[in-house]
Amino acid sequence: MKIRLIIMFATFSLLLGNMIHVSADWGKALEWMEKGAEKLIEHKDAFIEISEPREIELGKGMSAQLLGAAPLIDNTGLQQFVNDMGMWIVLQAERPNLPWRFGVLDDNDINAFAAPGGYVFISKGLFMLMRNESELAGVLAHEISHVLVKHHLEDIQERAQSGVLKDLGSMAAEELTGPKWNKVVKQLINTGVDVWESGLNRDDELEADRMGVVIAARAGYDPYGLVGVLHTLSLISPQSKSYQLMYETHPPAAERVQQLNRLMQGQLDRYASQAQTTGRLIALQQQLEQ
Amino acid sequence: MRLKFVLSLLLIGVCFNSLAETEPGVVTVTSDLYSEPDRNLPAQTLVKADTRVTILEHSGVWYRVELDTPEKERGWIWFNVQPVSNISWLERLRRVMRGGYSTQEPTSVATIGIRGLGPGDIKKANPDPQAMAAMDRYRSNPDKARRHAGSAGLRSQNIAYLIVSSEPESESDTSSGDQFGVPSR
Repeated sequence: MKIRLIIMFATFSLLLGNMIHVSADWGKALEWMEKGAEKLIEHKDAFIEISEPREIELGKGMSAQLLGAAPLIDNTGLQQFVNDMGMWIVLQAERPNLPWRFGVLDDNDINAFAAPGGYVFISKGLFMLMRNESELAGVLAHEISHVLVKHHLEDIQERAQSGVLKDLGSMAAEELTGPKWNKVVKQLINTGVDVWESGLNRDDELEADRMGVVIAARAGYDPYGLVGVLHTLSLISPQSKSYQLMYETHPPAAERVQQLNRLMQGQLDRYASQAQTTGRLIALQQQLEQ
Repeated sequence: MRLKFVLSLLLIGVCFNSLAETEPGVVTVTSDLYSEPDRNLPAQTLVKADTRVTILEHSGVWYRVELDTPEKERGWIWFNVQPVSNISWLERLRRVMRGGYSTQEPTSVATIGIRGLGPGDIKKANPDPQAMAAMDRYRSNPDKARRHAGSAGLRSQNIAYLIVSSEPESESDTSSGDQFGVPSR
């Protein structure tokens, strides 16, 4: 990206230099320079920054696609519980004003998803593995962290540079409206689904773990809830089909446990006696067992 | 001759009937074994992950199993059992004729209930706007979330993000007030 900007700037300077040399038309040169600078700014906006409304739109599109593949569980009490809990956790973090939504998918695989703009999903399979609320809080806080620091958005942008955005050439940001933006956003949604299926990079996952335990602790939960979930996952056979997608798209659970145990010791130990809370969660799980 | 034929049918029927009721499985996660399908009861023993079991009964996400151990202990395990359900009828018959398949190593395990998301499933799906509308209905707000947390006695507190270094810090920095500072990457 930087290289592209440098080349554009160099080309522009060359053109400018030629123009000054040949015609000495300073007024026109300045006009060109001004237009070029504007173009560079527009280019930067189009290819580097995706505004928050567009981030939300992208996440909404990805979520609709996910729900087309795995519907929400039809249980209002459960969905409201997860939304109340998720919102409480979000209030402890940096972007509380996003339109946060949480959902439990009717999918017995073990997985969780986050989409840009504040969409978080947990599969029924993973929900049923939770032994207490602090574990669920750890999972939600991990996914929330991906949204907070825009892991998926950055990955989508990076992948799109060589795909859909490259094809647009030097199109300015404001030109990406209406049908053109609609076309682009569809391709970005597809890229986002690719990110889900291939996974974020290892560092992003480990960062979300580090942030997740802290955010859960801020919400009053035992921060070791996430460690408990990861420990459970580390015991599941990688051959288990219900764990396959998560296993293939995340660093080994044992490595994640190791990182957290090392970092939390001395920094979060004092919060280990915080609430784990089981009653409400087990009641909901029992409803799903019916 | 006729008697032999009837006995053969009876024998095959018994074999398949027993298969319908019992099935080999594996415990996926170290789990408690209960005397009844109720997690409020004290567990009778802890079953290690990867323990082979025979599934005697399946009720919702509860499995009544017999452990494949010398003690052959029986009880209920919540959720964390996966049946080996991808065996063809021919293979089942072959194993029965060989003396049962409880000693066989499962080559793979299957998901419980509906099929999970496979590669390409999300991309191939049609977006579901109605489900998105449902998500809007379920959405919470800060006041509702605070009441929800309060009912469980949860309180918010200021805790700094973890300091990533080769030597872990001994104390978290709660005095800076920079609760929401995103850690450096």
